Amino acid sequence: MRKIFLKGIFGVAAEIIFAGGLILIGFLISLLGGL
Amino acid sequence: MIERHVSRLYPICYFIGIVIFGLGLIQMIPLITSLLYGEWDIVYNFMISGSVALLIGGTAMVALGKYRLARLSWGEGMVVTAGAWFIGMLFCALPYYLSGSYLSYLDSCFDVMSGFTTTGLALIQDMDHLSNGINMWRLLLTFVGGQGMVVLALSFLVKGTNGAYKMYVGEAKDERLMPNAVSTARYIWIISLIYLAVGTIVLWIAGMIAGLSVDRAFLHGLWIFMSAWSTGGFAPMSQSVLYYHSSIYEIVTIIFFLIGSFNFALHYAVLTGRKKELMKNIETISFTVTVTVLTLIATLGLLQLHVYPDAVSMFRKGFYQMISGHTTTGFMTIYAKQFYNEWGDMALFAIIIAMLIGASACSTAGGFKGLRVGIIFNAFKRDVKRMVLPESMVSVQKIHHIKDILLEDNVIRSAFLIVGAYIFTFTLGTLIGMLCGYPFGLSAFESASVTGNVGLSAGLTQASMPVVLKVTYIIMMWLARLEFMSILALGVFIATKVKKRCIKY
Repeated sequence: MRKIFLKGIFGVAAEIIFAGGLILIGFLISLLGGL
Repeated sequence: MIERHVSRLYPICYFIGIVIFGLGLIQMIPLITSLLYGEWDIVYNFMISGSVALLIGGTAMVALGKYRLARLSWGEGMVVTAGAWFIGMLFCALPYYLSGSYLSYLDSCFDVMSGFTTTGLALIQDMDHLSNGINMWRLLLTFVGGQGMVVLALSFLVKGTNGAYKMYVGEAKDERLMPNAVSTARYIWIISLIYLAVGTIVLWIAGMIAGLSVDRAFLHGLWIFMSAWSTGGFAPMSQSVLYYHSSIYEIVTIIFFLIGSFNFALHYAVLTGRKKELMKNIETISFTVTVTVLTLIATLGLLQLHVYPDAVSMFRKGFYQMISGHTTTGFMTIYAKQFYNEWGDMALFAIIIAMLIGASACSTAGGFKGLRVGIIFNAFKRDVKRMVLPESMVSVQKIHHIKDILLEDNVIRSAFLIVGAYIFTFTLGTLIGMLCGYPFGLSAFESASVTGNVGLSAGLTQASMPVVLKVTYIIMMWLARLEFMSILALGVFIATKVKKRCIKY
């Protein structure tokens, strides 16, 4: 049970990091556009 | 052959009755919300509309109970789904209409279909002064529609339904995470409810930081999360996310609608320990590529016209609308008219393409989906290789989506068919918009938003638009969300019944 819970938590963290990566791409492009 | 597959009326009515009963039950949530806030008129409205749905749905369930274990054919499963979405719309529009916030019953139906299909375009009047009960209903419809309401009703109200998988596929969610459709639907709901708890708390805090009172921050957090996760686009305020003037709120909403736009099979893989799937899945790769390319094009377009003077406003206005459009969410941090008046052709072109592509298959998102873009790209790659390389050097092409899948001709044909159907619907919507007197750019933008179930608006969608356009958009939202097949099956079913009746008389 604990293992399933931990996998779930790490999975959520991985999804948030992936979404963060996409936001970073957007920010870098915006940064280029704003320079 | 087709007639035999979609001809049994009573089992279809029985399953539609269950869905209507379920839609009556969930009206208790906005009813309780209104009770808590002392909105008595709205309480009565939900009592009336909830009773009608429970009575009619319950009668169908009791009267046709002997069809409980009927084994539905593929066609019948799809007719149930398409029929339940349409009849559900008529029932769910009742509290809207009774609230007096709509100019006509058609407008109420438009908003229900927009909610169910997670589109997010609205014809409601005076949105900034709505009761909490009506707002709860608007956002609940989006949340329920996004996860799949037919399978929700079946998985929680009936045990051992034979046709559940067929109805699950009918709702355009064709990937089985668990051995059967009911446990798959339950798993989808568990994932969504866990994220609902986390997302509401985070947005609650963000709302309080943005200056909302504790209870308003909670309700707005809950509603915005339900809308973001479902890639819905409805917001409690007419200014959408712009209302909060908060960069924290904007970043948090992007994270949740991005995650909400992921394939449920991908969620299942990642949450059960296969985190690398995020990096090698064809959908996430295709989505990352199209987001990057289209953001670059939109940024170039905005740069040419000097729309946003610095990087922060380019990110908060330009990128936000782009990612909101690409995930088919529809949250906005600019005013609708700014798209058409300020953005220019290049940025509008990029966002129209983003809205048509959409996000992932088997998710809450619309559009023709990154999976199909990936399949078509790989099919081109395979054919180019076949042309330029000797036959002995061309290996079998595979794509990775949860597992390795052989790129066979039927997979490619199916992807092309669906993409073709989306483009045809988009073209038709644009044409009808122009026939109603709107300019090409505006018609194309709104048509892409409706076809992709996005919800971004350049200002065309208003209560004053022609009835013919409202009806067209309702049909387009419904067609696109269910990915055409279920509604075609319903069309065949109705035609068969009419034909039989004509022959009889």
